[in-house]
Amino acid sequence: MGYAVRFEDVYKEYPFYQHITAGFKSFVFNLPGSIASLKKTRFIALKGVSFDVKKGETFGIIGRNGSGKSTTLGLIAGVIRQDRGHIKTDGRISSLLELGAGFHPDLSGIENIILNGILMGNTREEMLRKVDEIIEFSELGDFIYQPLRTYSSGMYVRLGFSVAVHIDPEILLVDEALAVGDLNFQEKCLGKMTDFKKSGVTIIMASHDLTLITRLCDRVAWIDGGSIMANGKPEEVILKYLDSLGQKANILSLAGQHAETQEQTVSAEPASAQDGEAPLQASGSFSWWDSPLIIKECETVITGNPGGHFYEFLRGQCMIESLEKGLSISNRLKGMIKNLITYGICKSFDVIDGEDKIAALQAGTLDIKEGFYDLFLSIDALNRIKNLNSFLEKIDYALADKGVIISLEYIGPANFQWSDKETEIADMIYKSLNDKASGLSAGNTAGAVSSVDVIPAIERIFDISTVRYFGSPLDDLVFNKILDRFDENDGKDSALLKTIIRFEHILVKQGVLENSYALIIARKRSSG
Amino acid sequence: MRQNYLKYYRDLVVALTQKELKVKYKRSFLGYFWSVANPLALALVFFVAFKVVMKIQIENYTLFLISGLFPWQWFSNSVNSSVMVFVGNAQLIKKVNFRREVLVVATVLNDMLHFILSIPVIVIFIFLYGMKPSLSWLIGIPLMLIIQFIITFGLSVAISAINLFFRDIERIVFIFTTLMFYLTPIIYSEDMVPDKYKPLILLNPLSLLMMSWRKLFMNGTLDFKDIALAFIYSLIIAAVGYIIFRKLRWRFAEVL
Repeated sequence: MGYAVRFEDVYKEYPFYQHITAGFKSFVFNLPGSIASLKKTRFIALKGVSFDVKKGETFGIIGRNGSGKSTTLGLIAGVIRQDRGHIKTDGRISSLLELGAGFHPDLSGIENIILNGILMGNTREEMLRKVDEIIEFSELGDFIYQPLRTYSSGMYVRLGFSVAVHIDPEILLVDEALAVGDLNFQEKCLGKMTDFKKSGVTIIMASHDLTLITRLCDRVAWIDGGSIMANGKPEEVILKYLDSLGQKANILSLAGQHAETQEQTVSAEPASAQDGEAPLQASGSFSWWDSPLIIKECETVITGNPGGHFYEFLRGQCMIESLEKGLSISNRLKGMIKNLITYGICKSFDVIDGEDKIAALQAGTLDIKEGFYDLFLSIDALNRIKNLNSFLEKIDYALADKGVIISLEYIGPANFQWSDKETEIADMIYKSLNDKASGLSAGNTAGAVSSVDVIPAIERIFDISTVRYFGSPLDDLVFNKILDRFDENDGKDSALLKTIIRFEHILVKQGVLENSYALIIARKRSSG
Repeated sequence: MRQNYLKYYRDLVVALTQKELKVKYKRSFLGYFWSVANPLALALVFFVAFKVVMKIQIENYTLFLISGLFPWQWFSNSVNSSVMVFVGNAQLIKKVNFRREVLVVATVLNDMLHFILSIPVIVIFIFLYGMKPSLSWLIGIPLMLIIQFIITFGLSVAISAINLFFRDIERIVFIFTTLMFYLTPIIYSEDMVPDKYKPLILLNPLSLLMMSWRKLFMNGTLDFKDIALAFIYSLIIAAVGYIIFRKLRWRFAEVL
């Protein structure tokens, strides 16, 4: 039939169960009222939803909380039933709706694998055949023989995911399940999803993670208030969705903020000007940077309060196993670079933030080992440096054929000021580098330096293996920290913030917004 | 295809029952002993109260007690624990599509296994009283197991479903099983019931069951009239229970 799932005018409503679950007594004593209210006060979750998901397609469902996403997945999974309309599914369904649902803490990993697999529709025989593969995938080692109560929450989730993906689904349902575990694990999940996609498994996912949706989905439906508002290409639907949230102005003012922070405003949004999308011009003055809470969080980050999200973010964004070596010219990143070292990810990250070190840098006496390097370039910093090509040559010269990470960017609210001392150091670095650069300068000294220009420049010195752009990893760092606090109190606000940031990444990817950051993994060419 | 289906449900029931068993004894030293200890302790209490203190006129009173008490424990444990079966597996019910009644089947089977494992204790007492197990057990025990399973399942499945909507059921069930225990001839014999109430015994399927178990264990006899009646009751209870369950089934994920 070609369709994995088909919804025809599906209608679903929920009674408000508190009338009954509140207790037998209150129900019986208000019997007429209870029955009347049961009939009257109903929550309509889906009103006449129709859509098809073709076999092998990856289909995303987006929408605000309570818009009907989970109801839709629940209906497909068959845990609830529609009140009207028809639902047809064709194929074995596996849900990643809740990893490890049905696990028992007193049973060992192995016992739980078998039990869970059988609950999800496999025979014991099938599970016994798959169990080795699952154990291997879960990377739990000898822990697999221990009862689950001894597991960390990460191990628990890993086991749950391992079982769920090994039962050969034909239709896979995903409901924010990938948002659990560390980013490393999330990458593994993503890899598995991509494998599924390649092997023709139909994937239906509901998520707030718009980046993920754009990355994986062939088609996206946006549900609001129980109806489908749009259904089509991911980018188009997501734009409509964000538009409805009224966030476009904010995103653009965010872009504007980036521009403002650059003292020698060179080219904050050249790409958006080039792009044909006129409505994407910056407008409005509100920015989430201005929120007092965020200012406070920024301060926390800036003062080097250990967070660790930065590293995880890098891992997630860059899909790199480890940062080998690195050097950072920085006056603000110290705390976060330290985190990188704490995580054991890089052994020789050096933060050049003191006058002694800067002097050593200028004198070319800083000792750095040769090998792979991560070049951390921020547009913000690059824009302050007029001629990137010569700058890079200069850096190259200064570091005596070693790799470098340059990261000197603004983070924080619009009205945030660096201390005089820090400004002094920053200016010193730039000045000294610029002075040297101007001697060699041959190119475009007045124009903007975009990341596009960066690549050929670097290519002359390094063999580039990976390039990743993002809006601003520090935004995400700050943002993740805020999310940690927010989630408990207000899921909506954090989802909103997340959406804004993610959308920024999308725009960057589409070239609407200029990158403000690039991470380049490169190997230094042997000199000579 | 159909064979696969059956095989799958067999695996599902076995896996869930195994889980219950494992979980129950995983962290305890004495394991199996506990499944017998509880009814034995109860038997001891009743023995002291009725035989020693009140001097009840029943021969082989200990054997008399346990041959009714052990199957009763199966019934009451199942019914009482079925209350929380769906509530306790909320995650599973909300997220995974499988036949929910299997959870109840596993609970009842689990308690049935405990009962079967306690039969050797009954055998020991039979020998202690100088009697012998009868060959009729070979037909009687499986037959009775089936009938009691059907009754217990029917009641449990309805209770477990209703409890999702009215949590008060938990209390009601506890009172119900306690009352039924004394209304069923377990600690006393049916002969001791006054004549005018005797017909009422026939209205209580549990009386029929417990009386039949006792006759089977103590005399090695099967009263087919009682058994047939109990069987009819069991089918009615199971049918009603399952209809209630089916009606509510699709709402489980919504209320949990």
